[in-house]
Amino acid sequence: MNTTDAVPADAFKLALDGQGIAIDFGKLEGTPLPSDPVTISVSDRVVMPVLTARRLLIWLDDALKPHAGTLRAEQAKALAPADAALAARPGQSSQRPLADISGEKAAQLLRMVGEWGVPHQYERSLRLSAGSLQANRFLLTLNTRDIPGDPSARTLAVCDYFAMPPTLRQAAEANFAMAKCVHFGFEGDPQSIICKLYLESAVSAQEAHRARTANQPVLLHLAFKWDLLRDAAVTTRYLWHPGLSASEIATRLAQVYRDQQPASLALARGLLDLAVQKVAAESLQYLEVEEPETARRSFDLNIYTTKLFVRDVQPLLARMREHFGIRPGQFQALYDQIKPMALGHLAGGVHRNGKDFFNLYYGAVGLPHFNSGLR
Amino acid sequence: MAAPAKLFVPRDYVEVTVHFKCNLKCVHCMIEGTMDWLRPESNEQLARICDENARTHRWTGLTLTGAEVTLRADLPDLARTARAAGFRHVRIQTHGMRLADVDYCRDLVDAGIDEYLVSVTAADAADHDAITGVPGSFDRTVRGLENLERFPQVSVLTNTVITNRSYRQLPAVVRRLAHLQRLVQMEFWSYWPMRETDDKDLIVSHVAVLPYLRQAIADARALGRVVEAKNFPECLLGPDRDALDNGQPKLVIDPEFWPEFMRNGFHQCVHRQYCAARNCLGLNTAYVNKYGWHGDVLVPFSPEA
Repeated sequence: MNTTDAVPADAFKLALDGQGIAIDFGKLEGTPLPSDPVTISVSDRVVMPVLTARRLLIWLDDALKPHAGTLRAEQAKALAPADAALAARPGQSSQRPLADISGEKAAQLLRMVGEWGVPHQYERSLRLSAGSLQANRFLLTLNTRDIPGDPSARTLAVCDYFAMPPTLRQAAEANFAMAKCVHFGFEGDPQSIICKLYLESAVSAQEAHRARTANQPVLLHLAFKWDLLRDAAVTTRYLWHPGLSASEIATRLAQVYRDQQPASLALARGLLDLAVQKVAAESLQYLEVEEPETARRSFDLNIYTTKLFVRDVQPLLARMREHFGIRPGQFQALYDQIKPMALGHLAGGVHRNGKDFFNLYYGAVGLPHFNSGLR
Repeated sequence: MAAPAKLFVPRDYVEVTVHFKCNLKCVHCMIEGTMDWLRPESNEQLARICDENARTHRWTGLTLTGAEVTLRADLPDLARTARAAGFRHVRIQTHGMRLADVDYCRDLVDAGIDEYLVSVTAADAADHDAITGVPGSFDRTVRGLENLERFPQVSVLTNTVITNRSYRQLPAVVRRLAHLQRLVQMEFWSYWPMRETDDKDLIVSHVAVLPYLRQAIADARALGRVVEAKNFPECLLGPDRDALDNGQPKLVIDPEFWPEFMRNGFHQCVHRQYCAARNCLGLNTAYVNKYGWHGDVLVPFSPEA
């Protein structure tokens, strides 16, 4: 083959030409924007039979192999980092730690309830106990009548997904008719993942009045709680003492603590004092908690009606932190996130593990939109 | 203290790695161990980017980075090329030691380099030099920053990497640089080790960093400076979450960098699947391996937050 002068080209066009292939070579004119039409100055036209074109293709492919890495790198530069990493070293991936199973379970619960597409309330909480702070806790609350289809079956299907023990399931099914609301609860930490189903009773004003007159509590919540990681399950009864005065609540708090945790009693009463500066004590909802199978002895004081924010009880929280020996920086890291949120309720007392504790519920939001029907 | 308005938008910039050598030995260097084999972008590649920008005006700013770009003798030429191609701003990312020579500063400024992102690893010479491994490096960097004060067209940004060696000094870094009038933005980057484990024991708990970081944010803002915190959980910043900015310009780099980078394994969090945060990189693999998931303090943003 005779040698010829090299003619630079940066553009070409292929076309079928009778029984052969025609290739026009040329150069781009100017520097057009990507959206502009391209003009090419054609310098040469080569026409070849199909068989020659096929040989050319094979030779071109071979000729490009030494440049494959460079071409791949150039292409990768246009990609996002994750895609570029894959393009640079296909098949290689980095080692990630095992996913936190509690995060996956929490996400699944939120997803299952969210997919019903009905109004529900999402409320997070924290727990303080000796040397321990937990923040991966939340409640989801729905009106039973909003649950699509058969509310009992749909609710228990969620519980089944989270492996609710058969004895609890039977009890929940047997008592489901009492539920005006259901609450799904979740707590996750490295040692345990606790799922909960609360059935909230529809207590009429008359029934509450009768209970108040008789100085008797009324069952408000029946709760079923089980641990996904350990063989542990309990049934918890939440008894509402309607219409108590501030002094009556204070007295009952003392009975819960039985003089064993004076510092915690003072803290609980401190919150009560703040609350009754905002609203009448009778409008607060004071509950006591029974767990026949355990030593739990606790209370739950709902103070949403006070419209207090978490920051309003900062001095009390600081005392709680100190009481339980939580590291200041650890608590501050959590507190700074939640201080602008509405304060919901405080639970406390002696937990089923025998430990003094407080649970603080905060920042309830209505999803997918606020539902005024929910408390 | 309200946050000053953002000065720089990542999408307006393209960042090109033009040099992979450095004369410091920072313990936290994210390309340590890769500098020997990552290939810098060629002058032809830089010319292509300049050509593209001349045609498309896609970016307003070019950042020349590396390792240490001031080790390139032709840095002023690169800047002039970029300016001629229509880049309105040319930035260098540097440890700033050569800027201690005011004539060199003038050369760079005259060539069109008007933005300087300078690494300041600590608030005093002893700590900075211990981190960089080069005695005298702090004094030269600070002198360089002070030299830049002479040029009114210049904007200065600083970057401090948050490690076990530096986190307590973040507010002190702000105080040490308080006199600089050209310093408009301070960045605090939480260290990532480019691998799955913290072999150098440089990662520090976010909970431990938090009070120092928030103090530094407040102090820098009080001086009228924009603050950007990077690679820190958004929720933990509380009221200062607006300081989190993980945005990065388009980075043109040897693609072999990215498999190393992806070993960091960002976007991990116990709440990842339902948290409504949009700017958060979560935790990285080495962090989780060292400190766990922080279920005690992380609070997800609810969808309506």
